Amino acid sequence: MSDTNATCAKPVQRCHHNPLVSCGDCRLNAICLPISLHVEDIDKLDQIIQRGRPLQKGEYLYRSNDQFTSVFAVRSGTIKAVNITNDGEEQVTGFYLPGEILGMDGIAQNHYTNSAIALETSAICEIPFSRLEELSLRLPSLQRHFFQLMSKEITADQQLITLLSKNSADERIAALLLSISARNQNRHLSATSFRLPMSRSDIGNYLGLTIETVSRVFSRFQKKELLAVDKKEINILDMDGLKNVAQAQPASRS
Amino acid sequence: MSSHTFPLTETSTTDQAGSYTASGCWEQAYAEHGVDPEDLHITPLRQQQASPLGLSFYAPPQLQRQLQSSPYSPRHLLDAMLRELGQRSEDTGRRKVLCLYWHLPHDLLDDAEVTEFMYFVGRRYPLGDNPEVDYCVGFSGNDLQPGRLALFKGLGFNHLQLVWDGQQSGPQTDLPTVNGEALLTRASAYCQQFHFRHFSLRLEHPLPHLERTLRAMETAGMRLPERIVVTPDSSAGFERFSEQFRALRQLQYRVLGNDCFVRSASPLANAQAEHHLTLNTEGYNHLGVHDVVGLGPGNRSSLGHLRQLNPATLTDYLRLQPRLLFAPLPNARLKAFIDSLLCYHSADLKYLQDRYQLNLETILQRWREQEQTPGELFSINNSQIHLTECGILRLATLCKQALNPGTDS
Repeated sequence: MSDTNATCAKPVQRCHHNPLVSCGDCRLNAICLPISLHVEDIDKLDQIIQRGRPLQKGEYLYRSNDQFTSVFAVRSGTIKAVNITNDGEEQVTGFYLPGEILGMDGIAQNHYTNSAIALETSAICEIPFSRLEELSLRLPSLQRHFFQLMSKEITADQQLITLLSKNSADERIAALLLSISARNQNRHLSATSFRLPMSRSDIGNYLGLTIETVSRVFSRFQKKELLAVDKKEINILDMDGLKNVAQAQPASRS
Repeated sequence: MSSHTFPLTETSTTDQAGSYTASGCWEQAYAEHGVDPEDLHITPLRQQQASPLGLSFYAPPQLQRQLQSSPYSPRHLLDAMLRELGQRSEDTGRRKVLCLYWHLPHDLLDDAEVTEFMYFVGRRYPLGDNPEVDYCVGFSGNDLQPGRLALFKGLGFNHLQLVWDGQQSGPQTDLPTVNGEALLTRASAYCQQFHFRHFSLRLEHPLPHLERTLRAMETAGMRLPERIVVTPDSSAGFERFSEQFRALRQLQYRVLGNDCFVRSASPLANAQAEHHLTLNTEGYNHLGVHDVVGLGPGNRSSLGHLRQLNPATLTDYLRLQPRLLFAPLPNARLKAFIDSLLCYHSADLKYLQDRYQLNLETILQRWREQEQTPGELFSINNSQIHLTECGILRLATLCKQALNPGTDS
């Protein structure tokens, strides 16, 4: 994610790709799992977190049908979740930005139902689920926050399904842009200027649109001065106008 | 008579004069028969059966007010329900759960708490990831919000039941005040939007112009409730009860008992036609679910002929006071006859005599004495008894007389 136009509430203490960054020092601890934990409890969470080397673009974090063992928090970069349909086609089912937890689809069936792929160099915190459960029993606030995240994930997924099933291309793309904007805002980044980490092709796949339709809609939005687009850089010029296009509240994971 | 209140389900009846709904007559007989004074303890109800199970989650509507004036919080209630879940699943946790019934008021648990509860239900019981299950969540007018609907859909619930309790959406929500008809059309739209497989309506209060609204919805191509349940509180007099009965039949609804109306070609209608309906304490189902484990204060469990009632007050429930065990009914064999009449409006008298040693002649004689003209309430042909429409409308009285031969209607 570009920090050129970003507005950060606090300075980054260490490089967020650095696997040695602890939960206490991580700039995402205000929205990630440590939220509402006492300082001494953050260390307990820190002890179970596994931080490996960053994932490179195109690298798999996990694959569909792998045994479920961990949930993952994105510390930097972007991850896309994909499902392989019966026809062998790849269907994008979600995008995960820094501070967001993925892998929860594996909880119910003990294996991941989607695959997770890095869209750019990404740093990931791996949280072994059995240890998270044990710790949650001792830290009720952690358990509470985890279920808050899970409920938001579940709700957002369903709202996306309804969005896709009936809305026009303009409404879908507007809803996606507003979702990314809101999620950026939760991380104290700019809600109006950001870089889209996913390709037009991935956007089209996710929203059930062709790449040509996605490009046409972006052009249309530019003509209406709703936003300015420079390759992957987005500048929302008319937030209210964009919300009007979306018509409904966007599905937000944050 | 037991003074405990049952959760409001489609099988509950009241003792009020003029209650015409029949489907809850068997369970009402338990309430009238009373608590077994010898057996006031937490009964494990060890069941080794493999037959499918229903789970019901309930709390009285007034529980939120009780919480507010108590030292307890919703977290205490959730913890107590999770404890109960752990206890119950020790005995029944291997049985596949084909029916879920969510009757908890939506202002009790927030989204995270609901998610946590269902997470642990899923850990304790094999919930079906299968479109044939019936996982029902009830919503009244104030609760019908897209975010909440999305959550329950995502948690696996596939049946939206609109509960019309006469309360219009008011200042507690951002929605303008709406009447029942508008609420019904909104619920129908949400069902489509969120792809709920089943949609039903439960009337706990009269809904004026119901038939007109349903016709308008049908004309507009909207989704009609596949099931409409009429509770005693919603029937305002026998004339209105009969009128509504006939109007819904004209709208192509079939009737189960005399208070559960189902669309032709719906799963319940097909089950009735094919003679594989099941009636349990939560109502009719087509999945063979007889037994229901009820969690939550004031909820009821039914396993075979056993009935248990959870403590109804918050304090007693949190303190793990013993569940009450209801005495088995002395005429338990009659259930086969009652169920047959409720489900199919007919019964094979010879089969009942051979299989259950049931001689029903005394009951039939009492019923004949009520008829103004022969054949008004029922007819018998080749040992098959068939109820007429008049008999179906008066089914509550007929069942009550069958269960209590010494009393009048």
